[in-house]
Amino acid sequence: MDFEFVHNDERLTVRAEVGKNSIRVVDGDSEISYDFFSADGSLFTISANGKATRVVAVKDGETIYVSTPGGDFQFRLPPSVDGDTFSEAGGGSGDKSKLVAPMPGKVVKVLVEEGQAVTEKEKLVIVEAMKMENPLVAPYPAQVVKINCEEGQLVDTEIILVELKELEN
Amino acid sequence: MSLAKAIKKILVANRGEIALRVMRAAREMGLGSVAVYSEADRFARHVIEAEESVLIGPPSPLESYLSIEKIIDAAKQTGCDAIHPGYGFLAENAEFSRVCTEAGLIFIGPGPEAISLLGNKLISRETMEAADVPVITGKKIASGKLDDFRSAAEEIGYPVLIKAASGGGGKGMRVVTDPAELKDAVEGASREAKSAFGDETVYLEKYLTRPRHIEFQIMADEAGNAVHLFERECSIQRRHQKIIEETPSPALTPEIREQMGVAAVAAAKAAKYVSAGTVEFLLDEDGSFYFLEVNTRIQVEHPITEMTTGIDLVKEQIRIASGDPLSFAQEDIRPFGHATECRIYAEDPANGFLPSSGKIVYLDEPSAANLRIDSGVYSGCEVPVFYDPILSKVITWGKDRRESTRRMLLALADYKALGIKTNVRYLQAILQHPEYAAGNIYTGFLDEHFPGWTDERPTAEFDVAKVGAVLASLHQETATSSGDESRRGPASIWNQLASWEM
Repeated sequence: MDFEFVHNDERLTVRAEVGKNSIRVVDGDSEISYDFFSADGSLFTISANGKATRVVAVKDGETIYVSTPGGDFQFRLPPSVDGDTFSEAGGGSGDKSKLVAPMPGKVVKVLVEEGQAVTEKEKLVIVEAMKMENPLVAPYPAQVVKINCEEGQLVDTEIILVELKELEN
Repeated sequence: MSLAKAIKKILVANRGEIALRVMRAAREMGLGSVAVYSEADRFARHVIEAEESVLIGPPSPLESYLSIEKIIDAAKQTGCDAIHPGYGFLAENAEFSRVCTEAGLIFIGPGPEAISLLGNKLISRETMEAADVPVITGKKIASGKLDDFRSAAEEIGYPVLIKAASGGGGKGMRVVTDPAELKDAVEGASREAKSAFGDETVYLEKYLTRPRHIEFQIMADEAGNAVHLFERECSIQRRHQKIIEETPSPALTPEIREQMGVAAVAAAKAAKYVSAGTVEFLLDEDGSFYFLEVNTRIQVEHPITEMTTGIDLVKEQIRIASGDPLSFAQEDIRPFGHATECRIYAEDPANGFLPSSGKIVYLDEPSAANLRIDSGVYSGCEVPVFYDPILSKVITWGKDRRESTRRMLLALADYKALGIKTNVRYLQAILQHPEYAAGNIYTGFLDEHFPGWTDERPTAEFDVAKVGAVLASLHQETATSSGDESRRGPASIWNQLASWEM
């Protein structure tokens, strides 16, 4: 069957047949068969051609976290009905002109004003979280269209703090 | 073992791994212990593992872990006779030490006089100069006015360092190379100092360009005995935050070690110090060293000293607080082998090291011979945004530096924390750097060798990661999602999958 994921904002289909302790992954003309074992449903030993890899794979809500010796990966389950909701829910890399706090925190400084032109990497707002100050910077030369926060305000990752309009060089 | 002044029950005025560390020491000594917690830490590990715990307020540190009144009340209410402050929060607050004593509680740490003297970097510098402890040259003190900072910086020349007078751990600290950055740096440092230590006073000093950070563990008792327990090198720092520490330092010759040890003990005696403390020095490339500050608390990196000396520093603190003399003399302390500590932080190296809060959906910490984990988290716990992002500490011992480092690399490869971002891959990359292996480290090491570091993972692992994703997607979550989210964790579904024949 086909397993649908979203990885790095791209849809990904994995065609696989899963057995009791084996899985066959088909990619175009090639296919790889793996044996797997897990005692607890989260730590897996996955082996192919005699080489075993220990992988942690955990589903939490709509997100699947996978840790391999080569690094950690994050997959999301695609939205089940309405395909349009994803780009919003995915947040982050979508629309760079709308800046949100990277994590919940407190706005300690607003460094720009509405209408002001800013350069790439210019600091716009400083959000304090976990005792450290984290600046929000302009992704490109832009004009500040709107500021939706003020100093001292507690913000989460949903609020758009600053809206920008990209300036052409 | 009997303690001179009766300590039967200790309130631990902290959270996370250090709270657990102190409670365990108390338990091993047959003493009772009480945890305190904020509303954000209701299900924190230090609370669920405590014998007894007291809710002391809202998540904001000022209303909970920094509230002297609430902590004293909690100690009284639970019949404690002593308080251990851990590190951070109230650990270096002279007022706290004083109020504890006035309330009839034993403060496990130095008295208010020593904390005031040493906790304030301005006054401690003068004390050390008077005791012939070498102090950094070109260091200038400035008042709270921006113009004074500007003229002092111009007088000693850039780069300069802005530091919180009552700070530590890199909080409220800024390096300024360009005069135009001075205003922001002073204001930012003041704000951080205010929120982290409740004191916005900052000062300015000359910034050495290629120093090593070498510190000496000291221990002193009420009878005036003072010893040092050798050095820790903490040169691997990111934004002044130590992330890898080791002992012994690969840079110290027996002669320099001897001189620094003598200076560290002189510093302890000059301040009439009692309890465990740390004398921090900067070591210049020419072998000269300068007093930096004394940290009047147990340090985050204390376990490496415990690994090489075999001495339990927290238990010794408790014994000294009870009035007992030091249980060892200087000549009894013979460090053996090499120890390394890596601090596991909830932060994202790929994204400007932003702190990463949220739920740890899966945690598996390594175990092996000569490996110690001081952890404050568990699988399924929440990492709150309000506090330090330190999750746990991985500590290894080896017969030499090479063995300790290799053991650490294996341990980090087995450290699995999913759901939040951690610095594990970054730590691995640092330990594998040839200059680290050669011992050529200094406080600017990471800025020089790891600017804008990104994780270069082999793509070969992606195939097996996809297999993992498929297997995990077949996993049925057992708890209802409408229930307590934090309790929802991985559980076995492989009984169900057994019927999934091809």
